[in-house]
Amino acid sequence: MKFIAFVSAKGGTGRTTLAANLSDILSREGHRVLALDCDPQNALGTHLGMVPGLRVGISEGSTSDEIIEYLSAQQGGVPYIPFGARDRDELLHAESTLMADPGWLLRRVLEVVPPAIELVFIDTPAGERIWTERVLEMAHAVVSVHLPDAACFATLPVMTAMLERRGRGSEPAPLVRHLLNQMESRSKLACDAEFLLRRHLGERLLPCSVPRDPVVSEAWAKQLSVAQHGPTTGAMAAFREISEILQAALLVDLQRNTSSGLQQAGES
Amino acid sequence: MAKDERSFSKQLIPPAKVMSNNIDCTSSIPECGPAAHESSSGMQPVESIGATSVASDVAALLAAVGGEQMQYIEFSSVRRELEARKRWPLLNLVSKLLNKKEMPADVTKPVALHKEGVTI
Repeated sequence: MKFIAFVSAKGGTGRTTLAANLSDILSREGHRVLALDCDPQNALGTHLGMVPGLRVGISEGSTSDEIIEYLSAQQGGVPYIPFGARDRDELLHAESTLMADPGWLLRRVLEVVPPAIELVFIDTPAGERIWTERVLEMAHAVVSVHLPDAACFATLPVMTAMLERRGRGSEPAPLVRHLLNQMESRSKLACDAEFLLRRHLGERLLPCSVPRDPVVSEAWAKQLSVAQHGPTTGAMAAFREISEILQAALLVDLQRNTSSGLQQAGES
Repeated sequence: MAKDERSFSKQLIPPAKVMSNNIDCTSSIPECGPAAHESSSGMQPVESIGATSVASDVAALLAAVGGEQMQYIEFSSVRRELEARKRWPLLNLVSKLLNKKEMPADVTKPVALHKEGVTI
């Protein structure tokens, strides 16, 4: 099981939309994928059929049995675990638990996610939050999402510092890739921002930017995936390319581990 | 390290696209737009530029492409970066900050970008 985190320094970059749609694409291709919401906004599930305001979720306040029951009740589509609707005090309490017990989230995830799942796409809150920090500690890959605008550029040092800290941890550093979302190729600022980002990040910036496309927002409003609502759009083409890159980076490695594990089991 | 890789990949961009020094991103700048300069379809295969057996040998590849052209491509990119940073002061400030973090403390020499002496 591998964890892919979607992070960004500021809100509104499209982390949730990317996590939902990339998990949908890989699920349609037959991979065993699960979407996990670690963002207190509790919005990831609304892409995937959840009723807004649902209480059950990964955050403290729901039991593991409740989450497993909710997962098993889902019919079709990408299985998902919401964050869970929580009030302010509950959020503060959950955050203090995460601060005091760094392993809490990973234990919880391993308790509730079926072991057959290959990839877990994790949505995180914007900026430096304890939820993001804990997700980064367990992530095998990180997709840092940017918009080609002034605000995103201004917050880029915050995000790179956060990812560098994670890279210095004792565990193997995750694969980190940056992604430009909602690219507007008619905007001079957007083009210059993309150019400068590429100069700074080199191959860490994914070659495929996601174009700004109203179909993405429309799909969400219809509680459909972009694959369902706009299968021939430019945004969908970019999503496909990104999913292929993630597959190449993670699933091949995963299959290699699995087959070597089976080989070892056979030898013993 | 990342910058070296970028320069290396830019050598493989077809000259017709790269030679345009136009800073208007809506026209012929190869870096603009999704997957523009990283696209494999836009790259000239190593074999076609005469470096089949020594593709990993940077010196041979430089000779095949032409060192001057490579310098021009890098110069063109740097020029575009300067134009962009001049146009957007905030992007310039952040770029400075990021460059400062990437640059090892002991690297202080200016880098010669062009044989005619343009330096930064």
